[in-house]
Amino acid sequence: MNFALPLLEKLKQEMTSKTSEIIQADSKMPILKIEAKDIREAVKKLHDDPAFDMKYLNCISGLHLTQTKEDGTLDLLGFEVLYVFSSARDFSTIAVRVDLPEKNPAIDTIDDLYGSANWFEREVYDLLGVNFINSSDLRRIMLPQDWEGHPLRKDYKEQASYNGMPTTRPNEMESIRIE
Amino acid sequence: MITENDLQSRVEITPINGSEIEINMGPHHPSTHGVIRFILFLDGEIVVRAVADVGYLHRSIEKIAENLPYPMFMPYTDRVDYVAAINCNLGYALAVESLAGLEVPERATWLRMIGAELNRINSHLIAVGALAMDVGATTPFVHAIREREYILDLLEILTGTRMNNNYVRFGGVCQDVPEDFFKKTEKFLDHFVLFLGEFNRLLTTNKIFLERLINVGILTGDQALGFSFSGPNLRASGVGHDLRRIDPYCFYSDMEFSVPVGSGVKGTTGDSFDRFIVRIDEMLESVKILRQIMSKIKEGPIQSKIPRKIVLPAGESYHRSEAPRGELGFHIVSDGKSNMPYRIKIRTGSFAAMTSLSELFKGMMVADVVAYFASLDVVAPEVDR
Repeated sequence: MNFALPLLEKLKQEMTSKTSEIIQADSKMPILKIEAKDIREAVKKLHDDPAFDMKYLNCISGLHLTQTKEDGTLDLLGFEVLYVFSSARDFSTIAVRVDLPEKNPAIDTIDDLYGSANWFEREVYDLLGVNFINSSDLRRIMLPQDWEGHPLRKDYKEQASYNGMPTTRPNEMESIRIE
Repeated sequence: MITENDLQSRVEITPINGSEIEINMGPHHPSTHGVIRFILFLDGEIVVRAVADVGYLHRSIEKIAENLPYPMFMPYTDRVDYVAAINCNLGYALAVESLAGLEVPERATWLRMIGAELNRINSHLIAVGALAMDVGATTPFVHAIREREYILDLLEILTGTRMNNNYVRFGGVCQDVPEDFFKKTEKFLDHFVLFLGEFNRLLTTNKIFLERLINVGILTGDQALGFSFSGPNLRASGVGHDLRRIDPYCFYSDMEFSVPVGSGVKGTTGDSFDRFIVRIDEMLESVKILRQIMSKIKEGPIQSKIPRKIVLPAGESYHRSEAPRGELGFHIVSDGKSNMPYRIKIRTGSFAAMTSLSELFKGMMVADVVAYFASLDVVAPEVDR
């Protein structure tokens, strides 16, 4: 992978708020961790500044951050949204990560800068419940519009029935299974 | 009695002002390749706006991954893109191997590349065949399927199954090949180059086929980059982006092959015809690569020793490889304790290609919607996962 650490350091220095930090710097994929309020500034810089020229959005991914406690229950620690951008010139790649709180996770949209961002954001919204503020079209994409809950959350419980149809059924063969 | 005036008024087309007709195209429609639905708002035969609706094949593969040990997720990657199963296997295996630091023997890498390139030809045959069928030419599709059958036979010798091969293992591949496999592949390649010329002549000199594709769905390089296009779709718009070149994996850096780029041979760069011809050229490049592999492959082990329980170091990574439908990215997150991934996100080429539809459909004729969509080579399971 040609993840570009120098570009990441340059971006870190040019940000107005100095709270960003580079994590996993010695691994194959260094990531710049920034605060949610800075995302527009960072992405605008990546998109418009000719020094970066990151006109290509590889992917927006997200995940639910949790920690398993000693008694087996989950500590819910919030959400992570990961953006991967590539340069249109030499295809060097950088990753930007944003951590969001567990309650009402929300982040500014970037779908006015990248044509594909809307669909990637919709997927994160659908499966994780992260809100993208000012999005042009934030609807569910994989699941039906009236589905309850967000399946990729670690504490997700599937709804018992959907439009009157049960979502699970008892397995009669369960009794003969060998433990 | 009907006068001439009456006839005149009957053939006159009056534009429907202010009243759009809403039409559902799909989910079950011959040209939507699986189950994808478009809601088209039409003024006559012109699309005013369009909404693409996906998710009919959502099998929550990413959620399943969180509950399975790393090796057990391998068969599910086949189902991400069933037309190019080995490419998906390979992408996943490379991602995990690079994180876990597993070695792969030389012969296994060559065999993986053979599988991947055969599968690429297979996938592109389906793409160009289905494109021809969607614009009205049924015969080329049958020809493409016939040739694909030989590839499926070769894949059966190589992997044991015709589709959903589940061929790649961490640190190697599942089985070695019999000696006559290379002879058979050689014979197929000799035959295939001749066939491709014939197939190409049948289509690229066909006036109807050309008229349906030339200057339809034009995407400039900047637009294609903005929509995160990858693979042949991006290259057709004139951007020479091939991950086998710019981010080489396996032994692709030792291979001699060119990256076909759309140049508007018949119309404008980035039109549907460019997307067709780039795939034809790419199949020839795959043939070149296969020939080089077979001249270089040597006897040797096909599986390295790997730990019984694979636990990746804590952290996250994004690994990408070049599948027939473009960039196949695996974002893998590990907590460093469990033998199961904390999260796997799969980024596919088809999903990115779908993002362009609402924008590009505007102002198109309904027939061009079919042609443009078919030229993108979208596979529904890969969009929905």
